[in-house]
Amino acid sequence: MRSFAQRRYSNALIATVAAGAVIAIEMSRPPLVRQHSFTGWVLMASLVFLVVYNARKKIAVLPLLSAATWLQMHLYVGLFAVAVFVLHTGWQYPDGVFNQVLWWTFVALAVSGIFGIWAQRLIAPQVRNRGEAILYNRISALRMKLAAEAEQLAGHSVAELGSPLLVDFYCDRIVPFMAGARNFWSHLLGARDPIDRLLRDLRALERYLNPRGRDALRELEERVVAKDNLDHQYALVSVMRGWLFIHIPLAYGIFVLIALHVVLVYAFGGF
Amino acid sequence: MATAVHTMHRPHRWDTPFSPEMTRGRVARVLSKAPLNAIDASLFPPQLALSDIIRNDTRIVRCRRGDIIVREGDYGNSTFFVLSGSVGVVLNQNLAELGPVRRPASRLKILSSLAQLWRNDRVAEAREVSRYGDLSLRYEADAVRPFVKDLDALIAESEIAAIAEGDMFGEIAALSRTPRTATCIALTDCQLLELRWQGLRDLRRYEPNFRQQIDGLYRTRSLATHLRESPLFANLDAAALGHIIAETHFETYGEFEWFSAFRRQMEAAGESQVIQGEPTIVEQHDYADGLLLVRSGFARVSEELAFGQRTVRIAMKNDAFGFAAIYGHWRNGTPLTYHHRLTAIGYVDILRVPTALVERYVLPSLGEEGGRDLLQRSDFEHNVDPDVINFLVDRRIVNGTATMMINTTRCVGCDDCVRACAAAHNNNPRFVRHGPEHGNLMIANACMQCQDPVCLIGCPTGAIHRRAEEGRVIIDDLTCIGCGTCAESCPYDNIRLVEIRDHNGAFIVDDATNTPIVKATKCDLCADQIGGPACQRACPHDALVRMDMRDQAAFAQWMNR
Repeated sequence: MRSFAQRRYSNALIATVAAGAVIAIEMSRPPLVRQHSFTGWVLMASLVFLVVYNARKKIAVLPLLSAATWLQMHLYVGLFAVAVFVLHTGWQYPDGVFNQVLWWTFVALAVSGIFGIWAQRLIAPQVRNRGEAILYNRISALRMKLAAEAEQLAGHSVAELGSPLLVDFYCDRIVPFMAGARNFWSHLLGARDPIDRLLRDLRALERYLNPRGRDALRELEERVVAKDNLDHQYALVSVMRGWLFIHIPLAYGIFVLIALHVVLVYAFGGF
Repeated sequence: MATAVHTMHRPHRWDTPFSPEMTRGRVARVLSKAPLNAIDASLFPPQLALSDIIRNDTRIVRCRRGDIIVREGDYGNSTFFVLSGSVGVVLNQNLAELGPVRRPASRLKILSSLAQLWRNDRVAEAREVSRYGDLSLRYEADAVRPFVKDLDALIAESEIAAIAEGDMFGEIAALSRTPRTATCIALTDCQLLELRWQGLRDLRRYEPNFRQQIDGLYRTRSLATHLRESPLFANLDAAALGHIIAETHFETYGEFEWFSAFRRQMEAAGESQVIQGEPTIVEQHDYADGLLLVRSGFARVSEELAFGQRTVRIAMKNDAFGFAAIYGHWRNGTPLTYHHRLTAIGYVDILRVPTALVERYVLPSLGEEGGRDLLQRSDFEHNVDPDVINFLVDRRIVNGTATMMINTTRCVGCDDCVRACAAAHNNNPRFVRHGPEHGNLMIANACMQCQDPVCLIGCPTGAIHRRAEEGRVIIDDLTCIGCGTCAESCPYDNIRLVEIRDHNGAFIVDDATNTPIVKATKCDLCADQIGGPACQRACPHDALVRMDMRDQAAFAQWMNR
């Protein structure tokens, strides 16, 4: 079993050699006959191959190499395609609006892909930083359960304390917090300010409560922390899943644009 | 609006006997023959009468001369009584590949496999209800029997032990849930009574003399077979081996149904205290009076660390314990004491070969190089965090031969594995991507295909069984009565009971009580799919693997990848 590092090095080497070969072939042609058709078709073939990965994922029941192998090929053919794209465009920003749209679509596609890999490799290890991982589709159910428990605790305290202090805080601050996923960007950026502020304000009530109230406060605090941990997982997993909603539409979109590009080039490009 | 339902008769044990041929007359005839005629029928409760067990849990097997009845390595769920004729146990040849090829498991073709993408039911747990009407389809009931073409030549060149009328065989695999230890062939045309292990279990439970008899056979035959197959004894002549067989002790530790105690311990004390409940086989620094061979099951090899025990490795079938101590004493005169502690995990069969015999016969036969090689292997520790080993042993994960392990630092929660599993099982995922975790290792709730599948123990119909071909534990949906015994027995909560529906989504209910019909379900390792487990193949991030815990080197490699 090759280590991940070994695999990374060998795949990167293969992609680099392939890109070097395409550059060498292109550069070996006289500048006057160099019409970028070679790099264009290589780029087109690479993109077709990249899209096939998605089809492979849909037919997981067939033993057509493992999805992990396909992903590796997808990554390195993707990087190879970026090199060919640079060569194809000649390091220049195109003039026409259509080609500019095509250029930006490709760049967005490549950037979203690179972001996706970065997100998955870096975010995945952080998901469990705050306790056990929860299945994504169970997060909202657990969130509602915590909200119900918090509501019950606040209800208890008003009956037992005869003071609305904790209930007021619950209504003003905790109900909105429990109502849905919160502090999305803070979780992504690793900032704890919002939850620290909420907990600080909650704990500040402790001195005004009787022993029963303090018990209720501590239990409420546990629910708040648990809810924040759920939000943390929700934010991270949403990014790990959500980037595909940009990457895949762009992938299909670029095929439409490429088809038009080919028609335009062969119709008006002087071939 | 009332929910649509589909009614059927709720299945029960013995709705479908092992064989429809077992009429009352045949049962009476069988019970009049040895050794069954020695069984006291009055010891059995009315609901489990001896005659009912024989009628429902046995079948007559007719063999022609040369037929291979059981093959070494096959997983068997039954034992055989010789009613007439003679059967031979081939002792010194592996006949696994003799005769026609093994009956292949039925697998989907490429097009049918692909068609699952659009043919799968849209509703959960849909079944073809009409199939439940005909339960004549039973696993292995229609097995094709291979045969030896030139039996006389085989007899001439092999060592064969004859089993005569009135004797039994095949009890070792049936009782220990292990592969068959020898190949048995029909030496003459013969008639056998095959008793499936559910019946064998009941006979053992209620008849002490019968239990004593078959346990005695089990011990004697297991001992001889195991010593013969161990590489330690490969270079010994027959006389030396005979001496060792005569002097070796057969020991059993732990409970046959260990899962109940294990669950209780886990709930009461947590995993770090589970070791306290493990029966000690030998203590560290005990006098090494013998070389211990693990015959079946697992044992924990640990050493003292402060006030606790650090797990060093797992001893599994065919592993030897105490070799380093005996070899060191014999070679260099070091104290003859065990270097580690050995405790039973679950149910363990141990062979204790006396040290004096090891020093007299085994060590000289190995030679300098062979001895050093075995010493290195016996002391080998894989480069895995000891805490991980503790976790795997404490939770009995080491039982798995296809444990679903997920590297949580690589898993992105895409659920491609779950989708692939659902696609391969009529849109019903057969595992949950969730389970106990240690560091970045998660053991998902998927059937581990245990070496010791305790889920089989209580099944009244044999619906959950181990396939003879490759040892996979499978649930036969047609014969499952939904009693939930297997789910209760599984120490890992990897079996689920589901309420079944017809293709239109209507629940199928019992026509008498109007309660839902349930079936046990679990991961079958994509038994009918081409290319093996879809979950592993579908993981794009190399986060998920199905690991055989017997291959500790592969596990270490995967952990350190």
